[in-house]
Amino acid sequence: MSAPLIWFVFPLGISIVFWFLQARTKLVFWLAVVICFLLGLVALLQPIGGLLKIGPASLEIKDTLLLFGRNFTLQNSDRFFLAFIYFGAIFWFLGSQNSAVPAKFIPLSLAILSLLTAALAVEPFLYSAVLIELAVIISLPLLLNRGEPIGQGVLRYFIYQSLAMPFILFAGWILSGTQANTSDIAQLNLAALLLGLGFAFLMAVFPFHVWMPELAGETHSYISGFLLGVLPPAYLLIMLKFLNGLVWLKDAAFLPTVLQTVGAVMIVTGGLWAAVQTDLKRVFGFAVIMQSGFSLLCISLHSQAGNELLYLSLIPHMLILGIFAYALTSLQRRGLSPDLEGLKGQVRNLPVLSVALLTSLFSIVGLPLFAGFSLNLELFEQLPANSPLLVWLLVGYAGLMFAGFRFLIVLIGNNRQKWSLYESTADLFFLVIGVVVLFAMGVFPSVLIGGVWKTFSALLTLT
Amino acid sequence: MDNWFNIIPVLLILAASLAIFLFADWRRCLVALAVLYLGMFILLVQVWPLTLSAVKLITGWVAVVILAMNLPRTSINQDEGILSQHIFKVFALIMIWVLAFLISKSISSAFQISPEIAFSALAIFGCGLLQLGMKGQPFFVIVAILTVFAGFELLYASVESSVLINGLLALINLLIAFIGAYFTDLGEREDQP
Repeated sequence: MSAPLIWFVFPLGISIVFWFLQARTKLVFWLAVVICFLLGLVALLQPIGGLLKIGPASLEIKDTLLLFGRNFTLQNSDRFFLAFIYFGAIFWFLGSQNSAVPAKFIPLSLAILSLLTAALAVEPFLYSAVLIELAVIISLPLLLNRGEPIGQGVLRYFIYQSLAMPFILFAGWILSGTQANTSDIAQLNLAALLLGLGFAFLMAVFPFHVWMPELAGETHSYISGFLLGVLPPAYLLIMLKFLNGLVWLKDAAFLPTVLQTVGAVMIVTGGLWAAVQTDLKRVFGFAVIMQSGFSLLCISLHSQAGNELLYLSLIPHMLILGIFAYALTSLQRRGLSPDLEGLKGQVRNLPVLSVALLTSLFSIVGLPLFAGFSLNLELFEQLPANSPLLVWLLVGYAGLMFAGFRFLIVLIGNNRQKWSLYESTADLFFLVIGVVVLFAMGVFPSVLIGGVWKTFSALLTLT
Repeated sequence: MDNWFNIIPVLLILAASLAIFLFADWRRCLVALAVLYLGMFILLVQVWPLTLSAVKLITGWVAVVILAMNLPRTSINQDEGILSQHIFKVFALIMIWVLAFLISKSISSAFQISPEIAFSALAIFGCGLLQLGMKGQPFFVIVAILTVFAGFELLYASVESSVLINGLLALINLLIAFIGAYFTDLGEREDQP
């Protein structure tokens, strides 16, 4: 038994079985939740390379699987990724039950997650570009439904994600030729440039970011929420693994500056564009860009603290996006348009939903008492003092804050209706829990963010 | 150019990429794509074994067939637009070819591949990128992505001979064609009352 067999081949096989069982939605849902829970739990508790004891039997979990002549290797350092991916999947699957997503959501999502796991595991790493492309192609039927027009956002998503593959493959080829000879600076710089371009396409770095708000704006909010909540962090962790494997690039003097600049540009452009949006779904897309910028800034710190902050932020960020996407889906299920016109005075009809939308938005901004506050504060403290970068970051976050207050004013506007509670019981259950957790993360960050991290890091022996 | 025979596949590729870029008719566009794969095959067979080159050709043609399977049920766009539009497109493509020609020398020496392969690959890649920027209909976007990948694969095949990676690339081409057929099918259902 090998780790890639457990976390890549098995879920991929299961996703194919689920595809044929789509009609039995409840069965597929419960099986998917149980399987993802077990996969996450095993990732959290079982060291790779150790013995997995099931009663009297014991199985050795090897780290490498040989498939088509290539090695797929998952090490103990990848267990955070595995636990994050599969526990995250449970979170998204739970919400999907009340979000009117098509039956293909769970099978295709599971296939995407297993391919992302394969992309992390495959050696040499250049193959991961191909596996990511496969995951993107599989995600397309998820975004398209019969009777709905094919929007520009979906097409651009496909184009930009596909363009990443050639650049990463070429970078991988150059690196495979020059890995032994790190004195060939010109070739190494070319490889770094191609790799950077590839990841810029994948992660919607400015100016390749247009697809993200468009995709969020024109597709089912919960599905785009899942993709935008899972793909960028997965790409980041894959990128981090590449960086750790390429010592010359990891230690390159230009890398922190480049990552800082790119991260700051993502936050500034995301924030400023969000400020002028009238559609909350598009604001969601820009918020994802800002979160990716935040993560790049964490990596740019090139320190243990920066890496910890990146890992710390992944769980709250996914939670925020999940609640945001769920609230947007809930609005649309009621036939309400999530724009300035459609949201006017809705706090009187849908108070919990309105609070959930604003809480998730202000959590990304990082206002005090909201979930993102402690994370943003920690990042600002870690960045060089007196750096002009801080001013730019404040400009970006101010842009998103402006958007948040704009929607707040619209939501609390008087639509001359009486106060009522139109949310369904299931909506109330998910949204109230979500809002309470986001507030609790803001008020008690050391307990809920730091505590979860400490538990994770102790179990995964990350520190 | 060391091998003057290569002028035939290069001209074939240039003509096909021009046709892909200019034709608004879906059938002609697919025929041009099939010709493009043939031109690629003639170049590839010089650096790869015949069997492996044939895989690329067959994969490309199968992708074309998958896309073509949905065409008879959908309306065919007639060539539309005015002469100045076509002239602009031709000039834009010629600019791309000039650019490809100018950088093909350095690419061919950097990657140690023949200049005609470097030029053809860059010309195809550039044509695909230009089409991605100028056409917004799902079918043409899919054809443009296939064109971009064709250009990339021609260049990549010259430097990487791994069977697995090329097999995966072939799989991706086929899946893109399936997605294209799915797009066309969805578009057709949208048009139905």
